[in-house]
This record gives sequence, structure tokens and C-alpha cells, in this order.
Amino acid sequence: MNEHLSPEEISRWFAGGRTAELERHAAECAECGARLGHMDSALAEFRESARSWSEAQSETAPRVVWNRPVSHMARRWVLVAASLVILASGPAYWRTRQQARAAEMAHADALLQQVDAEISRAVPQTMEPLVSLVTWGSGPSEESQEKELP
Amino acid sequence: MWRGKEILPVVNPSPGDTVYTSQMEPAVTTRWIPDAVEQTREFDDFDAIVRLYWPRVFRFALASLRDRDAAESVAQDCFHKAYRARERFRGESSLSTWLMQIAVNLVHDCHRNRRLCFWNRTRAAAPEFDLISKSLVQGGASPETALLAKERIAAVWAAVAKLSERQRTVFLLRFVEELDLLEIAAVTGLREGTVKVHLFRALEAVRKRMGEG
Repeated sequence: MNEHLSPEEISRWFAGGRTAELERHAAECAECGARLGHMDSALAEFRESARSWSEAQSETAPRVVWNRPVSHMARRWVLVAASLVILASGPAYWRTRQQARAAEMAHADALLQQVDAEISRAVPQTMEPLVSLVTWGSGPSEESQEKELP
Repeated sequence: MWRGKEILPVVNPSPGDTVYTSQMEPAVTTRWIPDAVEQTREFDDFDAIVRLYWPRVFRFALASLRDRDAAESVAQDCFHKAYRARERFRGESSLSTWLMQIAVNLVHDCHRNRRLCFWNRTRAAAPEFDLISKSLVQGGASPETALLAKERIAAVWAAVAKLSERQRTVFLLRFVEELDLLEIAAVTGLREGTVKVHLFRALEAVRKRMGEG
């Protein structure tokens, strides 16, 4: 092989298509060796640039916190536990609610009774001590008063 | 004079191993670490898996989408999906390949969504070429060399931005993530021959953009 490597052959070289003949020529021909070297340097510099860039971006990037996702099984167990808690707390909540309602009703009844008592009083409460001094049945009756009249 | 090196495929590179990535310069591997994969294969410590593979997934997403927020979102989704589907992982491929498969699919979804939202096209960020040329100068290169390198890198990025989605994916997996053709085929679900074709076309576009005859 006396001719220099064609541009396609150089591309093929780096694309994994090297043959023994190409290798022999590259080893013997200074010009082709330089061209291959130039391309190789460019690719190496590109690699370094990509790595430097990535590292620089990682340095400036906020620290990524790796949150391990909850597995499906764990998620299922959490759902089951939550359902059980809801089921268990339901009757207790219902009972508490009933008790609160009963207490409220009792209070309302007591209040009503108190109001009834107030309404059914013969005299106002402030006059009750006077009532105890007076015996309603001890005075002259209406009949005797009529008799006494001329 | 070009001196082709005798390259032996590094099947299981250890951290810090020297591998010859593209026939020219040896490079210290940053490829996935099989020992660590073995340790985490059982998904006992998923946090360790995230720590180990996050940089690779994020880097691939960032280079593909050129949007940090989108890349972070893709990386986050990738690990969430992997965690949810961990019971389906049967070890037929490496954990790294499996995660990259998920990442490639998520990036594809992201591209598809972007096509629907045309205004998002303007959000693509540019790599920080100044940062890169500064690091080259600090590494001992002359300002002229650094400038030339910066121009070359910018030309490659510009060419990569114009590639089709599939060509770009294959190109990035090969030349940034340093996957071999079979690994790329496993990640993308393409045949090895198809991967070669995409890679060849991508390289042609890059070479033309660089002004290489």
C-alpha cells in the first residue's frame, strides 16, 4: 500500500474498521501517522472537555439527595396499616360522638326542667321567704267572712 | 512517524490501570470497576451503586442534552427506574450496561419531548471551552497550543451537535465513555455492524468540521 490513507479510511480506522494493511501503512508513513495522531488528539481533547465540563457542572450543582423510592410492598403495607387504623378508630369515634350527644341532650333536658320549674313557681323567687311566713290556709275563709257580714 | 501500538483488549481494567484507548496515548482508565459491580450486583447497597455510576450517567446525559437540569433529571430518573426494576435485572449484561441502556432511553425520550417543544432548542448550553483551555495551559501547554486545542474541541462539539441523535449517542459512548463496539451495541440495542456505520458517519462529520481533508 503506497498511497496515503484516504479521509474515509481515517474515519474507518477510528470507527473500529482497522485492517492489518492500514496498520502497516500507518506505522510506515509519517504523514498518515501525523494525520491519525491529529485526529486522535482531537478526540482525546474532546473526551477531556466532556469530562471537565461534567465535573464542573457537578461541582456547581446542588447536592443531589438520593431518596430511595418506597417499594411497592412497603407501599402496600402502609396502605393496609392506614386502612386498619381507620377501621379501628371508626367505632371508637362513633362511640365518643354518641356519648357527647347524650351529654348534650342531658344538659338540654336539665335546662328545660329548670325553665319549667321557674315558670311553674307561684311567686317570684325573691318573695319565697315571705311565702314561708304566711300560711295560706290559716286566715278567715270567704264563707266565714260572709257570715260575719250583717 | 506513526507507530501503531500492539493493543490488547482490556477486559477487566482495575482502577488506575493503563489502557490504550485509541492507539496513541495511554490513559488511566475511568471505566466502570468490575469489582465494585460485583459487590453491588445484589443491589444490597443501592446508594453505593448511585455513587459509583452517577458521574457516568450524568456525564453522558449532559453531553447529549447540553442542559444541566435535564441531565440531572435524566440521571435521577435513571436510578429511580433501575431501583424499581432491580428485580428484573438478571445479570445478563453488566450493571453498567444496564444503567446506560436506561440512560440512553431516557435521553431519547428527552429529545423526543424537546422536538415537540421547539422553544427548548435554544436552551442547549455550550461546554466551557475557556475552562478547558485554562486547564491545558496549566498542564504545561503554550497559549498558542491551548488556543488551537480550544478551537479543535469547539469544532468537535459543533459537529457533535449537528449529528443525528443515534450517531451522537454512539459517538459519545465510544469517545467519551470509551465503550467498545460490543458494549455500545448492548447499550443501544443495535447490531455491531450498525454501530460501526453510525460511528463512521459521525467521524466523517467531525473530521469535515475540523477541516480534515
